[in-house]
Amino acid sequence: MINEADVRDAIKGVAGSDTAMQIPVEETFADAGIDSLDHTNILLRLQERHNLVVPDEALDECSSINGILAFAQRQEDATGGG
Amino acid sequence: MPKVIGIERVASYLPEQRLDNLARTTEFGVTQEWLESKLGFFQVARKGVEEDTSDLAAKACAKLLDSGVPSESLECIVVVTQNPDGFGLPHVAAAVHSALRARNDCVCFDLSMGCAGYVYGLSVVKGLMESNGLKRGLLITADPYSKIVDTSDRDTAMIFGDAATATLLGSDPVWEIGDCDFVTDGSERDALLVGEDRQLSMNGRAVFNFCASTVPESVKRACSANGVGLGAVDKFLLHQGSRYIVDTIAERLGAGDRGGFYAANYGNTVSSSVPLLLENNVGPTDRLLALSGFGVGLACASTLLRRVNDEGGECHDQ
Repeated sequence: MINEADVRDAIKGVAGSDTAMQIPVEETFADAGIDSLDHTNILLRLQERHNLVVPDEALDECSSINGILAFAQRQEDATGGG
Repeated sequence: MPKVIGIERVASYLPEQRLDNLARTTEFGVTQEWLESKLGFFQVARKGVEEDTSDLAAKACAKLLDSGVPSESLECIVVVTQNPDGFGLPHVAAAVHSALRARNDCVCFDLSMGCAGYVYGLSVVKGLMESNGLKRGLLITADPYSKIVDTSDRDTAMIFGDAATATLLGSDPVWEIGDCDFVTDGSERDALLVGEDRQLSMNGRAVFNFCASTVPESVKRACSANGVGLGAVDKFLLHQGSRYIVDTIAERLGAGDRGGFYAANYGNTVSSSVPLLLENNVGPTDRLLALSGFGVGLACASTLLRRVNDEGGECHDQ
């Protein structure tokens, strides 16, 4: 199960250390200056490293750190992971 | 023993007309900074309304043949395109054959591939020539997306440029063509699609995910298959899909400035983008080139080019 540090690490690889450290968990990536290309890249890194597959329909939900963590938790619950 | 076929020369035709993306930032709701750092294309090349696909192809061929190659010596003409003349029949290669007044025993056909088409074409034409004892052939790329791009579609209108290239293959090559690596993920074929409206639609996220995850691995396999480590490659000639995708793939390869973006002033020219790099962005000291094309299919193809002789000239018409 991914955690906040994992998401921040993915952000760091795409948008740099400052953004990764400073972005509040509830702030949308767009408001933090992360555009749709970088957003896509962040989600790809999470998919490659943590097998978190975000379908296109869930893109809006997964547009903040909290949103990604909530989506990942639901996926975990749905698959019975622990 | 059949002679080994490789690349002797490359020429291109880029239409003079350009669409200025900087003038369209407000229309598409993007900033100049985004255009520069992410999309990368300030301008995209546009063919004239009177020009069809075979006209672009013939103009690239004329530049190649003007440098001293008689058209009667051509034994095959293969055109990579998915936007042929008129309604798609006959094949573009037949029109080019006529324009060049080539011999009647010259093998002519089209190859339906998109952005990966140049590497596919190199492999197909090399195999065709070697297995049939042909000494001289043309691989042409001509795929003007202006025929299918909706000029009001933000996802595609600022990306694609028109161009054509002609590559002379023969038995006295400047570049030897190595083993190739091919990838297709047909389950994502709708990510680049021409629909009933005859216009291109693109799922940018699906295309990006495929390219970022697949291309670096394909390039690594191609290098490995040819006994070359990534560190020995002088230049990575990556399909110029956008600055962002080129930068992402280059970073994943650890290519640094060996994997550059050069298409700012003409756009993503589909299967022409890799041969344009080969013609214009390779120096006399570059000896090992890794090529990779990727896109429609979704498909990817990578290979390695090795300069044949130390003194070797540059790979373009003078």
